[in-house]
Amino acid sequence: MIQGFHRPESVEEAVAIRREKGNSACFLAGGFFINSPKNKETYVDAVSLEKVGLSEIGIGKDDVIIGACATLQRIVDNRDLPPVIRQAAGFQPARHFRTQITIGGDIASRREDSFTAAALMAMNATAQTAESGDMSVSDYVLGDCDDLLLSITVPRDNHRCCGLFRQTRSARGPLLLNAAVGLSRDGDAAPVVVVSGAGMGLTRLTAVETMLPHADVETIERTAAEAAPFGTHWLGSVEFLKHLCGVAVADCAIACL
Amino acid sequence: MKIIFTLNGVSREAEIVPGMNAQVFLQQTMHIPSVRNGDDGTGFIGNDVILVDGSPRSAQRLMAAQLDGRDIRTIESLNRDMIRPGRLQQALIAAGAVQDGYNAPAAALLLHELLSRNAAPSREEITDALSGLFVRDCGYEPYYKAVEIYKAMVQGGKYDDVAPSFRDDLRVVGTPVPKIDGPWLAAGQRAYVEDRVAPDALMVRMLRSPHAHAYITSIDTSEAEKVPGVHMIVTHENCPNESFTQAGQGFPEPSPYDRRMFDKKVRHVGDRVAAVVAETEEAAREALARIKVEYDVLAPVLSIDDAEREDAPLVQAGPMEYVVGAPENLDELNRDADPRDGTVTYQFPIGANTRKNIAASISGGIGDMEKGFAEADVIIERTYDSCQIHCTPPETHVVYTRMDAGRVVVHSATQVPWHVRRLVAKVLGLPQNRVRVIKERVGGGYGSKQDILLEDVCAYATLKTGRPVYSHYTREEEFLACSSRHPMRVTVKLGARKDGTLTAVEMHNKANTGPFGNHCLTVPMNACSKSLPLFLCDNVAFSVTVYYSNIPPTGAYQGYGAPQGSFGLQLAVAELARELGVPHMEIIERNRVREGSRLELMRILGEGREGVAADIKSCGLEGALKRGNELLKLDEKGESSDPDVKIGKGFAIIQQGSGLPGLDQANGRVNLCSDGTILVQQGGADIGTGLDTVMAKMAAEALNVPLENVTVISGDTDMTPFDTGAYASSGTYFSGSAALLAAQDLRKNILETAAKMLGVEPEDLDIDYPGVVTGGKEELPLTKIAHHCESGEGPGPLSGKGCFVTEHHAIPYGAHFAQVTVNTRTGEVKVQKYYALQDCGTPVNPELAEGQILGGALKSIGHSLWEEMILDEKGALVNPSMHEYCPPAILDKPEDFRAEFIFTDDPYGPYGAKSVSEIATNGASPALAAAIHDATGVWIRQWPFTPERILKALGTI
Repeated sequence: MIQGFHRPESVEEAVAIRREKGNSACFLAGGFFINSPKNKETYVDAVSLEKVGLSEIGIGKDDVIIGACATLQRIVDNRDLPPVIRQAAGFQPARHFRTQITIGGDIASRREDSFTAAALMAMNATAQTAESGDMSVSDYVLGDCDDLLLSITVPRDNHRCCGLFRQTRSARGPLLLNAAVGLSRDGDAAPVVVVSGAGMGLTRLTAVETMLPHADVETIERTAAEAAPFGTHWLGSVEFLKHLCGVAVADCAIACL
Repeated sequence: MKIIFTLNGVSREAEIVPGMNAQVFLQQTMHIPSVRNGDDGTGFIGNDVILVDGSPRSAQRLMAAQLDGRDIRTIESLNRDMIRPGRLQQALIAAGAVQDGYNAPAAALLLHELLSRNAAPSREEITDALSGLFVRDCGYEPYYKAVEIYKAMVQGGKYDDVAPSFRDDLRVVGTPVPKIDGPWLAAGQRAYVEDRVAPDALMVRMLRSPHAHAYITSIDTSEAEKVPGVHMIVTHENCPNESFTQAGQGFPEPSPYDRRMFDKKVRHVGDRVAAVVAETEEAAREALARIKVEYDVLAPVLSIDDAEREDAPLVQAGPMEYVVGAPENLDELNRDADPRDGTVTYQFPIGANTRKNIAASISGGIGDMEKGFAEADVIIERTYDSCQIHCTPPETHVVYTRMDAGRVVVHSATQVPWHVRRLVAKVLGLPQNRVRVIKERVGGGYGSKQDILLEDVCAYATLKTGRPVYSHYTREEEFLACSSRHPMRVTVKLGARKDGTLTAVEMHNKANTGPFGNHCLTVPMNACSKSLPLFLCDNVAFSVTVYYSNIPPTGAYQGYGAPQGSFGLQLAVAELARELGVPHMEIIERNRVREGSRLELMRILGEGREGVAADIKSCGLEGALKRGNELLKLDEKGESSDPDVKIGKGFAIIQQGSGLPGLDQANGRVNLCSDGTILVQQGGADIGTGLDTVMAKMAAEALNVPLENVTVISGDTDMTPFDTGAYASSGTYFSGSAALLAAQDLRKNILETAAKMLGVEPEDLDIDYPGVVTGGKEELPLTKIAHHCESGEGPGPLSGKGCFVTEHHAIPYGAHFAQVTVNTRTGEVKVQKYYALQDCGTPVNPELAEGQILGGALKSIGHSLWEEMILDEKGALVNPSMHEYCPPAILDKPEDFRAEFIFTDDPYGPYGAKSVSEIATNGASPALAAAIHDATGVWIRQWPFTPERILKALGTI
């Protein structure tokens, strides 16, 4: 259980406290995941970001910058943000969870049902971190960096298009499949295909990425199904999950093309 | 650390451990009872919602330190004063959204937040606001009405009728009236078991088996006993040696006594191994970790196929004994019995043979099956599988026990207070007059609280320690060790002429009762008895075989076997219609029961006893089918703009019962208070259904007094007379009838007393509204009569009593219609339209009944599409959380979701009423399966209708 609660007033101070306390300390924004039954015994110290800020959303001509402490509900409500990001944030079905979950927490928790992480990866978004500078959200999520996230920079949708797919067992039930496919409109960035679900964490399907945007739908569907590394899971057979993955990636690609 | 914050407008400060959970802090330190936990800290249920600086949050997902400097609002902030609810809560009550009430404060807070940012929200916005709330009782629809009512209240205008009214000749019966316990539930006042717990109560925590099937070869509690604060540890070595059934059924029960408080054998993952009674939760948990147990692990039996194998391990291998009716070969059967398993006692024969894992069996029929099938032009035979389904009440099982004047007092969230008293007294070895059971408000029962899961252990701990004792299931325990819906395999064989006339109906039901035989005969039997009588056929046969296994326990769940039977029989008839090329509606109309039918079949469908033939005096099926077809237009094919999405329509007819004629009994007393108001004492258990309101209405109607002049005390074994309990759809018919009989008896006594006072004959007098005796030389208000009775010359206080028993059936009927979309690429099914047309006679509380119909329908939509208890190969449940189990949220609700009443006036029910809510779980599975077939051409014969099953049936994978 958290015994020490720290309220730094700057990023530098927050990082220093965390460094001092080591791995038993966590950054705390909304606290939704830190206070989950799974995690509540994990940490001894919480470094609250309440006074640090980091919740602003800035809208630029070519990109938008979302503070890491912006809640999913603020993202859903902000009509100036790319629709795909708003849609992904809205995939979290419970509104009163969305008012608590921050985009930073959603990404840093690296869950298979982090829809914003998948969408941001597909959008080629960049994460600004306190100690390691900028890195792609994809590198952050798929790597092991645990730096404090400061903000996320997302290209506007005039530069990049993205298709999303989500199927859960029931509206608030476990994830069957989450897919995001992102393509560059101006051809200056590589396609990204991300899938997760049924026990499989966020995974890039490079076999599909390399054939986009020129492959036909059937090939995309077949390749995605073959490439998805699903294991046995109570939510469905490998055959079913692979089929769903193929359909999902193909549908996302069609939405982009 | 010290935190300073504002709680409902009052500045507060507290010294806390920063990581203390905010829900625990608010409920236990700040004494706000309505901020609850029902889901092991996940926040899924939503009953922990608070407003933080005006924004809704899950208190369980916050630590107390995060409250520092914040403005915190709970339901109390919406109340009009300290105890009365505000307008929004009143709107929720008026709309029928406050049923079990456990989550009513959370719903009010979420809607308050919505309305504070948007005074005129759309349906989509209301859905969004409530997207994180889970309720099981009302199908979410009443919340939309509540918002409309609230808006009208704010504007000072009148609001539309929340539900239709029936019976112009009556004042309150058949008319929407706010539920009498609604205000205190919606205001967040203390009402549930957890709200009664004394600060010095000991905690009970249970050590549970990691194995599905094993003998305990040794158990060492010595280290656990050393943990400071541990008072006692109960195991099979020191518990009372008394066998019993957890089924809360009328005595003698048709369920075997096949367990003790703790057994040497564990029979499912999560079975009881030991109970620690300790000062704190922490001490109890530490002690649990120190108990050393060694097991001799046996092969588990996990399915009907496993159980009926020739060499199957025996789940109940102990000797059998019979109170009456022992079979002649009992000694032979018991020859190889294993005493470690304990004795299985039968009150009377139920067709059991534990040597073959058979917990119960029965068969019967009418007519000549051979002749019936010989007359058929078409014969089909199909098998339908249902899976294990959990009740998931928002409030998990909870008990608080204490001593009072040398007696054990049990505060329980139960459907059956009288059966709890009988069982607790038996296990503790006490006479029943030394046990008192108080049924508190119940946060959802749905059948699961008909079983007695914790009361025995807590009461024993109280008796032994003299201390108050509290235990509350975690959500995981609720999944592991609570009764659930039996998995069944129903094989239906139908014979019919070309025109669709049924010539023979055969139904064979194999059911899996799990480790114990609670309800093992009656639930699977009900699959037949609440489905077969829907069709008039001269040749009908059925058989039921129920197997023990090592799956989590099963038992009572709303519908009580009827949903599984209905799925099989109704879908088989739909398949027969397709086979014959006859419209489904035509075959139903040709064969269905109707008003005036005599059901000889009912003679052989009793609950463990011989039944009686039933004459159907009211049947709303004709109206239900006509109205359903008007709404859904079965003949019009639905078209989708998406080539991958197909649209289909389907329907099913359904029935239930109203209590158990010949078995159940309900009693009531109605008293005239000194000021002319009325006190009803009734044994019936209101589990959130509005039964107290039903009983109040019965008294108000019979006595012609205002409803607000009637108070109901119910479900308390000291304060009220016997009632068999809230199960088998008995509430309105039995308990309501008892209240009506008692009120009529009081009316008679009032008129006789008034006649003496006035010097006239009782027949000359009447009671006019609002409680005035008229017809004599002067009008006598009830106040005056009461005062006379209690004066020095009076005859004593007036009361009336009523005992209701009957042999008459008052069967509710209905038809459910559904329209679905099926995505043929993803297999995903969505329910676009769902119409539940139901005949419950006179709907006594129409707005509550409407919600209960929708709640039942949504439950069974969940059972059909998403819900399933899934076990691994060792018998461990792999999805023991609300999130993984998938009960429907508001987002899962059909887009167009309606309940309508088909009015009938049943001659046996009180003011023409029959039961209403339980039946509503019986229609969705066959209606949805028929709709899926209409959309795709494939029959799905196994619950749940997952995307994978649909894609496999389509040949896609």
